[in-house]
Amino acid sequence: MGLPRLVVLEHLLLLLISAVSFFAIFMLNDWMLQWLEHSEHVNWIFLPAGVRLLLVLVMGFPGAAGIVLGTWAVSLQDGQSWSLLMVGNGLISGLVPWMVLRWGWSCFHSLAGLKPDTLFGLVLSYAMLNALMHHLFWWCIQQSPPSVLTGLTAMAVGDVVGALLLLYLLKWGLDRWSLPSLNPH
Amino acid sequence: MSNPVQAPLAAAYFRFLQLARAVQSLPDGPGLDANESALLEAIVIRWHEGQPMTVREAISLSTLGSPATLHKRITRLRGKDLLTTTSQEGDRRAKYLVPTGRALTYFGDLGRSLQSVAASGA
Repeated sequence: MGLPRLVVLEHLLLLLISAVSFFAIFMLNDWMLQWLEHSEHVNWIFLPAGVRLLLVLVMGFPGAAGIVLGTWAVSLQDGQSWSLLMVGNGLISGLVPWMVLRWGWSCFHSLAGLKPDTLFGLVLSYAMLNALMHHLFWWCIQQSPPSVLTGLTAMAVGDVVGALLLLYLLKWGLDRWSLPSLNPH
Repeated sequence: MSNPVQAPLAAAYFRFLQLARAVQSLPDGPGLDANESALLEAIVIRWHEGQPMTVREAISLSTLGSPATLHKRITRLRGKDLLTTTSQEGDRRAKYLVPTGRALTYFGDLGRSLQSVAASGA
């Protein structure tokens, strides 16, 4: 029995929301923080890493697929044409976080009881694996940057700093404008 | 994902609420903003005068904000381990706000700073 049409449509809507928000924050990061760029799209503060974490945690696979599309859209916006490099970058950007969550963390099934420690763990593991997988891929297709170690460090640090900034921005917003704190005291 | 809620949008919304709870409990920095500081001072002055403020009185300090805002602020001050609540013998309904050791250390530091500024100006 196939999925009801409404469920399919809602999945597509989530995918679209994810793609648009990832693309928008990527553009915003490039516009605001280009002066901190280490190399093309590798920034010492990479805010899309925070959005990536939120999208994958909240939306699951549609969120990850949206990130893949959003990353491809960024490459096309830069004037790149379809290539193995572009396709691989998109797949790594979206699917690695989802796979890390799927096979590495129990919060994949439910976010009930999610603790700040787990969030910090996810931020770190996403950042390290994302940087590692990108550089491994670039090495495999012989597109490695001149300084692999610095590039890898910049990407991992940028992801951690960007994700933490975004999480604390969200916390600041929630503390001020949201519903009263949901945490029991 | 095994989720009892089948509708993807509703499931995503519930997961966002769960995530928001975790994000709200991220550790705060040690600093206090001006509003938290003003509320903490008002509460500690009353405690220092021997008449600790109840939670009800604190959220009625209309010059510092609305009751809902003040309630959130008290929660944040408790989260920062600067305030705690006690009840009096015989009346467990009223909760009194009292400073913690950390709050007293904070005011002690402010007092020492004031003394050093006064000494350097003299």
